[in-house]
Amino acid sequence: MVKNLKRSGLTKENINCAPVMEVVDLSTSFLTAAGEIKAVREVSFSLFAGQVLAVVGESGCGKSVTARSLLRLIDPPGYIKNGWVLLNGVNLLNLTEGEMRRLRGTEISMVFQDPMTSFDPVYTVGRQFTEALMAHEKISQQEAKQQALQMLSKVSLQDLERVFNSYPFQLSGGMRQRVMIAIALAMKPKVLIADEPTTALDVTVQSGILAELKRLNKETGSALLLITHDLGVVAELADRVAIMYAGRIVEIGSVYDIFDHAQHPYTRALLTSINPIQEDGGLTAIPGQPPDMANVPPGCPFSPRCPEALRQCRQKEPEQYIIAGEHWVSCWRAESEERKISGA
Amino acid sequence: MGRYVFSRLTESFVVLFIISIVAFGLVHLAPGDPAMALYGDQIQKMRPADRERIRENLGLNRPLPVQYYKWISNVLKGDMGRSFMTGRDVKTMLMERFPGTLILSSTATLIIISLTLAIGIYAGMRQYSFFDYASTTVSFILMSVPGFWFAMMLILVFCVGLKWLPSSGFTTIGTDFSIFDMLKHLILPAVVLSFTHMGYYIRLIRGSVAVAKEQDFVTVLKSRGIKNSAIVARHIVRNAMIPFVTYLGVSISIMLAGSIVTEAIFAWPGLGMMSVEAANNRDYPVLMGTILFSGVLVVGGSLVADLFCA
Ligand SMILES: Nc1ncnc2c1ncn2[C@@H]1O[C@H](COP(=O)(O)OP(=O)(O)OP(=O)(O)O)[C@@H](O)[C@H]1O
Ligand SMILES: [Mg+2]
Repeated sequence: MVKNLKRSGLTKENINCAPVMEVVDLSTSFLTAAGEIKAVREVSFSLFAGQVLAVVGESGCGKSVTARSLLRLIDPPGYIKNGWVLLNGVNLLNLTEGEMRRLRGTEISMVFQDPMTSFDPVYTVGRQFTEALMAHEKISQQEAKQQALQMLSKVSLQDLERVFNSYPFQLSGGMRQRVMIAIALAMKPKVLIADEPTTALDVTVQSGILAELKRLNKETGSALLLITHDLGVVAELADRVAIMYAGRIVEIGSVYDIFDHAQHPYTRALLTSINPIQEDGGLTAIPGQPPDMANVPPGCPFSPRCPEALRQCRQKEPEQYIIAGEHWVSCWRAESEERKISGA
Repeated sequence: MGRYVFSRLTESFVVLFIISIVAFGLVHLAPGDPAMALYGDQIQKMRPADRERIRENLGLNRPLPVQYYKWISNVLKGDMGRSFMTGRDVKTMLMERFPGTLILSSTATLIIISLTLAIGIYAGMRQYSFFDYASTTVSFILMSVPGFWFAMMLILVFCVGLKWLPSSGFTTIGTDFSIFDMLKHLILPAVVLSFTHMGYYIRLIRGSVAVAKEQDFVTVLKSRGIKNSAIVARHIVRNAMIPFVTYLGVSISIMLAGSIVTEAIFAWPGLGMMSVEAANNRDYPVLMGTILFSGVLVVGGSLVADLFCA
């Protein structure tokens, strides 16, 4: 466990500012007709107050499943196989469903990709806001409305009364996403997860929304887990970056570590892809396809596409090696005894 | 919104106009002769001149467009004409029979709403469970078994066999009116009428609940820590109700227009039975009146349902 905690990024530098959330060896699978899909495999990372951890990776690599696992929102045929999701030292995976429910929205919140389908079309956004507040606090409709309006004013919305009384379809995508963020942050959660919060939005409003997230994250001191395809966004917003491939985190480190000292060939390939965003939101410019998740090849899952693959890459999954401080990588090329954290 | 209401209203009037033409056309072009129906076998003994005189009295010798114009302009003035058979005012007859149909169809509607919502929501939330398969099977049986056969079976069991319930009429003939007596007469027709609609509604609700529960917003609501029961009741069911309310509006108005088969089998005095009688008697004004009245109810019903959902 101590070994594992170390792997989650808890090191000398941040030991005195203990992480808000620690995720250790989290694995989530889907049992389908095609067999067990190991969507997330032994993923470990930590989230620190007021900091942004960006998770980057190709479509289907398990980013959303990881995010939803933290909230225990995995529906059958999926299930969380094992691991720890520690929030203030409590393993969320051991809580009852009722205890977990009370933490959702209050301690951990989530902002989703598509702000159109994320609202129930038959209620006003205001009603959905107060509903979220009243699910956790014993307050009247009026008090809830006051809190909601106050929160809406913090996400740079104007004409609050009108926004409050609007149905989702009456608001623009950007406005809906701002309301979404306001609801997510209303109860001052310690952890905010944003799963591609701007992918579905107009390019012109994307940067505004992201800037808002960053500002509120600093203001409220919550930890932000930001899932994105956009390395430009990562460079601008993130404090630390986790690179995911085929259900694993293959490299994690500070923005500086990742952008200037990338160790994993996959990370470097991502960085050199000049125009990384495709219409469907996939990353391009890396030859080959990510593996079929129901059928991950033996060895390092990236080896079939890796320009630097060694023979052992195709036979055995690499272990994890510390490069420096909280920067570690899972690649045979970084192999050396003293860097070794643990077996994969 | 105002524009939508206006366009739906205009649309409804156009549809009603077409219905009035079709009603008139069908009734007048159908084989059979009111004079014959009125006088039965005696008509054979009549001289052609007498027959012609009867037709003239009934206004049947004029060109059809003229007859239509006369009829529709009277209807618009509120006069639906008089029965060929009894000479009674058609509007009065409709108003006499309407309560019977109203009682029957509102009871059936209550049965439909309560049972199909309960079964459909439960099945939709537990898709592919044993209960779901069972309710699907039952729905398909309900959809494919004809109402009249179902009625016969119920009569056999409850009236002939067990002798628990009366098989026809509104109240027991020769007794004073009592609610209890009427309810006993009401049970079987209401059950038959609702069961013929129920299969569709179970399928409809089950399907739309199954769709609604997969919507993205359900996950979002869960992520906010809202109780599952509240998500189902406030959000999933509410979303699933939209098509249900629309169809229910149409079904209710169709039932209000008189359920011909059910009313005829159980001799329930409603609009449906009235139109069967009128058709047998070639009683043109009554028949056209019931068709037009049904049209108004159906068109009005779907109009109300649409405006309610908008
Ligand atoms: N309900 C499910 N049933 C079966 N497999 C699933 C299900 N949900 C996700 N998966 C599997 O989990 C893997 C990871 O999915 P996930 O949604 O986390 O990808 P992602 O990294 O968020 O991709 P994107 O960038 O497209 O959002 C997918 O490859 C998919 O095969
Ligand atoms: Mg995703």
